[in-house]
Amino acid sequence: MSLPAAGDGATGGRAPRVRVRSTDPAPPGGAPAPGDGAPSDRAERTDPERPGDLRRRGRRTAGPPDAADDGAVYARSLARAQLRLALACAGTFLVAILLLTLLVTTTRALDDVVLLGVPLPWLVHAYGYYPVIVAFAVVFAVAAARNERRFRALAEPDDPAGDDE
Amino acid sequence: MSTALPLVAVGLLLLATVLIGVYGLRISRTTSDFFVASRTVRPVWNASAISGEYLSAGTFLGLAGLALLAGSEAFWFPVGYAAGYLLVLLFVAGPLRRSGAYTIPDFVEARLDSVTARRVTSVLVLVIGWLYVVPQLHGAALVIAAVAPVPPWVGSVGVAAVVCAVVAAGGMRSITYVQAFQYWVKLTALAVPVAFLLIVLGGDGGGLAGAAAHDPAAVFPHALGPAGSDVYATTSLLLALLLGTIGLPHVLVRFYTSPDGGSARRTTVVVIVMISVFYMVSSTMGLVARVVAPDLAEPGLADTVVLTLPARLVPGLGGELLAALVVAGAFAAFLGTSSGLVVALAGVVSQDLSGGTVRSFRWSAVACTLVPLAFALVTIPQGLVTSVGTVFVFAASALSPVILLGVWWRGLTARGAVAGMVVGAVLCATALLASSALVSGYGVSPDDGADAVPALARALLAQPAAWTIPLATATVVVVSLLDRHGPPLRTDRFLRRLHVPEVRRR
Repeated sequence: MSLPAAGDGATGGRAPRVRVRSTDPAPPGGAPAPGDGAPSDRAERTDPERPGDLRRRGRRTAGPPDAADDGAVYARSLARAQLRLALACAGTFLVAILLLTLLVTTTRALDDVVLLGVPLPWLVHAYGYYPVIVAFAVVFAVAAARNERRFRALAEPDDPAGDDE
Repeated sequence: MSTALPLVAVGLLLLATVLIGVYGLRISRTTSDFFVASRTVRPVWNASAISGEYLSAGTFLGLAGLALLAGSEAFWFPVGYAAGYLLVLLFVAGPLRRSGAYTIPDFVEARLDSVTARRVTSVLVLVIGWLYVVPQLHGAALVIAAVAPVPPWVGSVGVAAVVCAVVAAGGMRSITYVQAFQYWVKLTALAVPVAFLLIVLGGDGGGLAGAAAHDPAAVFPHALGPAGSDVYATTSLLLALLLGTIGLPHVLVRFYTSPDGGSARRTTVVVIVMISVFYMVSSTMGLVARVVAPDLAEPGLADTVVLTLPARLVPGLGGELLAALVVAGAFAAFLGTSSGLVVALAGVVSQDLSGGTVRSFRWSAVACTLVPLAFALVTIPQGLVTSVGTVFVFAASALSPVILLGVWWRGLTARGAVAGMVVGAVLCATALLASSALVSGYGVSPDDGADAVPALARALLAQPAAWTIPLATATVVVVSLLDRHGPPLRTDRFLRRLHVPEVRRR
C-alpha cells in the first residue's frame, strides 16, 4: 500500500486538506519488520522533498493554524469519541449484567419456575448472559464504524466515498 | 467404553490436522506468512480460527466438570471469557490491528520506544503462555488415561509433539486453517452428543424434564445456583476474566490477520457469536451432567464427565461413537489452544532472541512446547477450568493495564509500564502461590472448611484480581506521571495511527 500521493489535489483551496491526509500515517500494508519498533512517520520525513512544500511551510510560520493541526484535532476528537463510546458500552454492559444477576439471585420465587426440568435462575446463568454480550458487541461495532465515517467526512471532504484513490 | 473407537477418532483428527498443516505449509513461504499468515485470511476463517484457538480444554471438559462439582458458579467462567472478548472489541481490537505490530512486546516497544519495556513484556507473555498450555496438556493426559489403558503422560507428550510439528512446519498460515477446522470439530463434538442426550432425557416434556427421578430442587439446589455465589470472589473473578483476555498472548496476534481495523472489529463480533454458541452447548453438558452423573462429582474425576455421558445415556454402538466424537473434540481443544499459544510464543521468542527468521521461529516453537510439557509432567492436574481462569487473573494483573493505557492514555511512559507490569505480576503471583499453599478446594471461592486462614484472607488470595489490577494500574499511572522523561516524543503520532481509520480500504 502506498501513502496518499503527496501532491494530489494540492490545488487552490484544497491545499490544507492535503496536509491532513499526508500526515495521517497510512498503516503500512506490508508489515513493519519484526522488532522494528518505530512506526516510521514517512509522511513527515518526506515532507520537505515535496513540491509545493515551501508554500505550505510558509503558511505554517505565518500564524493561522494550518491543516496539519486540523487533522490532529480531528484525530484526537475521533480517539476521544471512540473512547467515550467504548466506556459507555462497557458501563451499560456492566450495569445490565449486574441487574440481570441481581434479578436471578434475589428473587426467590424464580426458583420455583422450572422450565424443561431446570430452575429459571440456573437457565439464566447458563444461557442468559450471551445474548446481552452479543447485543453489546454488535451495537459497539456499528457505532464505532459510524464514528470513523464521520471522521472521514471531516478529514477528507473531497472524497465522498471515504476512499482515497 | 471400548478403547478402539476413541483412538481411531483421535487418529483421524491428528491425520486431518497434519494434512491441513501440510496444505498450509505449501502456501506459507515468507516470514510474514509464518508470523501472521500475511493477513490474507478470510474473515469467517479468521473468526473460526480465533474461536478455535480460544476454546480450550477448560470449557470443553472443565466447565461441565465444575458445574457438577460446584454448581452454577461454573457458568461464570464462560460468561467471563465471552465478556472478555467484548472488552477486547471495545478497547483494543481496532487500534491494535492498526498498530501494525506482530506481538504484544512489539506493540509495547513501538508505543513506548523502550527495549527494556519490551523485554519485560516478553517475559510476562512467555509466562502467561506457558501457564496456559499446561492445563491443555493436563487435559490430554486426563482424557487419554480415561479412554485407553496407557499412562497419562502419553496424552501430554502426544499433543505436545503434534503441536510442535505443525507449528514448526507451517507457522501461522497453516495454524490458521488447522484452528478454523478445529473450532467446527469442537462445536460438532459437543453439539451432536448434547442433541442426542437431550432427546434421550427429554421424553415428552423436552429438555431435561423427562429425566427419571429428577427433582429440579434437588439436582439444581438454590444454594448452588446463582444466588450461592460469593460476592467478592465472583466479582473479582469476573473482573479478571473480562480484562484478562486483553492480555492473552495468542488473542492479540490474531488481529493482525485482519486486513484493517474495521474488519478486525467485525471479525471480533463474529468470534463473540461463535464462542457464545459453543459455551451454551458446553453449559448444557454441565446441566445434563448434574442430572445424570452426580456420582462423578469428585475432584479429579469430574472433568471426565463429558466423556462418560454419551455412553451412559445412549446404549450400544451409538453411545460409543458419540463418546469417540467427544474424545476427538477434546483433542481438538488441546491442539487448537496449544498450537495458537505456541505460535504466539515462538514469534515473541524468535524476534527477541534472533531477529525473527523462519529458522529461529521453528526452534523457538520447539522450546516453547518443551517447557510447558516438562511443567505439565511434574505437576498434578487441578480443575481444568479453574487452572485456565488463573491464567486470566495473571494476564489481567500483569499485562492488561499497560495495554489498555498504551492504547488510550498518551501520558504512559516506559518506566510507568515496566513498574506496573512488575508490580502486577509480583503481587498476583505471590497471592496465587500463597493461595495454592494455604487453601485447597475447587471452584470460584475455594473453601476446605479449615479455619487456619480467615475466610476473607482466603478469598483475597484465591481471587486477587480485584486488588491487584487496581494496584498495577495505579502504579503505571503514578510512575508515568512522576517520570521526568515524560512520554516518548512520537506518542501523539503513534496514537493517531491507532485510532484513525486506514486511508484506503478494500
